[in-house]
Amino acid sequence: MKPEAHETPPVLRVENAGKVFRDFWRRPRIRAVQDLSFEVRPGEVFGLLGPNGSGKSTTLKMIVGLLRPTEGRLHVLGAPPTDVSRKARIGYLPEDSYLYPYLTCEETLDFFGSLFRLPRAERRARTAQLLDMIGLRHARRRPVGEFSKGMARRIGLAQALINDPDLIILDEPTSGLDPLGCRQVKDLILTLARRGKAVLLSSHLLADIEDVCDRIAILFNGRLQAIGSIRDLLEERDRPRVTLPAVTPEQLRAILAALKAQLGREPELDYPRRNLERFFLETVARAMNQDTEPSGAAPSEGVAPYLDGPPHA
Amino acid sequence: MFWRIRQFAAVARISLLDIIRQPGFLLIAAAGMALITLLPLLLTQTLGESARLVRDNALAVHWTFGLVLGSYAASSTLARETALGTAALVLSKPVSRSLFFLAKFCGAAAATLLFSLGAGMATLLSARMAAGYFILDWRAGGPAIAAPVLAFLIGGYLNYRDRGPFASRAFIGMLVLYAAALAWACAIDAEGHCGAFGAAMDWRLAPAGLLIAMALLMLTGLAGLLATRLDTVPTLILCSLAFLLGLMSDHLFGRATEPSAAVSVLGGLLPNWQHFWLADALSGNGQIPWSYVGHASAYGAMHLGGLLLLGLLSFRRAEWRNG
Repeated sequence: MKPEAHETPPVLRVENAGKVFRDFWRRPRIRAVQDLSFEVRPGEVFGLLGPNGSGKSTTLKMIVGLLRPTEGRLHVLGAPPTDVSRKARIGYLPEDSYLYPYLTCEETLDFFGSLFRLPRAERRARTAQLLDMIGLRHARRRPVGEFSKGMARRIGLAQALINDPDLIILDEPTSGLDPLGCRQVKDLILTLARRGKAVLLSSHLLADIEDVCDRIAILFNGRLQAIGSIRDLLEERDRPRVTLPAVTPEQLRAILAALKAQLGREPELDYPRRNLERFFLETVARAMNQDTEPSGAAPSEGVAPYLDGPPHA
Repeated sequence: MFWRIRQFAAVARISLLDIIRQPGFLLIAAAGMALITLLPLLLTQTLGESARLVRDNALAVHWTFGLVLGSYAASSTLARETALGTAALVLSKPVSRSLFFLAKFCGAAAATLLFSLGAGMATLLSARMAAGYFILDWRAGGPAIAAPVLAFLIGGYLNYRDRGPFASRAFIGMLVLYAAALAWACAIDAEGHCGAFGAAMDWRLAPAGLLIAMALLMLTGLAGLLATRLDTVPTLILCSLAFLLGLMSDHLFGRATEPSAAVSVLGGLLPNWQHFWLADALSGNGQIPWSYVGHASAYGAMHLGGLLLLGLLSFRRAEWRNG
């Protein structure tokens, strides 16, 4: 998160929010969320973490106005979540990609674009750019119902971004995506945050959260267990690690001996490994050079130009 | 305001497309229209009563298949979308719940009316084909019998050529081919000569068909109301129950019962389908006055308005755990 982000007003404020689901007789059945408070500011990527049933998706649904909180208050872009006009500045990707199975890819994006104040030409341009971005231009006339889970997820992500929203809410954005798609989504999130967008995402994939989030909140049984910046929560300041440039075995032995003399005990030595994600991406990139026509999602062409403009003031 | 109208049109259009692209919709609609078209073949040799039997049965098929289709369309567009989560996704956009519900109803109503249009054309063609005693007018009816087969072939070819949606193209193809068959039947007389356009058609069926279409709109509205809370199967069952009770409305709440406030209220709340079933009025040279169609439509519109109002209230309070 940029330092100045602390000074800007939050785009999302959740204050002591709670949600109780009731049964047919109106008796409390499940207390899904309890006393939850957090804020998300422009340019910040905020992650909601927690095991299944911890209240992440319920929280996101309260923020987009699909569920009403039974306790506390929520302010989304300065208004309650039930204010329909504010939804023009929100992009929401639900947990599963709920799309019209009999509509084509192109029709789906055009339909969601038509729900915003976008002129037809702009809508079409954005649809084309998004299809390029998610690598599904070749499948634009195929019904979404024929898509694999990963392809449907890509369309779901594209529909969440068609209005170039200020607050982007992503529920398990990388679920069902291949590593290439995951990397692309993570890069996209970082690009959007650089443009001043606030991103709220929930995920089970801790590595994804760690890669992109500035701050996180951990939920369990609907209650907030921990909240703070990734750095503050994860950094072990009493165990510093030194990374050396390439050294000869003699130099390494001398350094270790010096360290041992200073510390009074043997320091731990290990060698950094290449990240599996990076290795996979390099291997696939090589394979793409022996290109054939894709049956699923094609290699993407970066971020849609309208999403990659200059940062917001 | 213009933007809201555009949103409304977009949601209604996508609902219509989603409904008519479903294989289930095509199966029911095509079966109903084809059955009406084939009625003259089944009933021609019936003691010279074929014209009346074809007319009555065609209107009955129009109504029963329309009942199933209207309930299916409304529940598929509301209950199924609520269950699948697409409704929640659309409502996460700047779309009000009222607009969404009414636009969804309009999409389902448009699908039902398109079926009614097809069934109405098929009824006119069937009546024309069975107008003579013990003979069938193949010149007028032949193209209508070929229409469903041709429409399916065209839909299949277009699906093969450009992978377009088969169900909607076959359905639209049926409507277009039935319209062409109707135009052809209007242009020729019983001997196959060109005559006064439409002179040989039984246009008295038009107001009867319109009344059934109005009743189907009411049933679609009822299905829409039920679909805000119930799944497709319970919606279909309750719509059928409302249909049966409404048919017996006169017997249950009308002249046959002791007059009381409760009975009057119940009788007023339950749509009386007898107002919309006027096949008997066409016996002999009977006509259905257009003024009657107007009055019955006003009655239907009032009921429909009430159903939609209840549906709106129910939908505004709904919460989405799916989505």
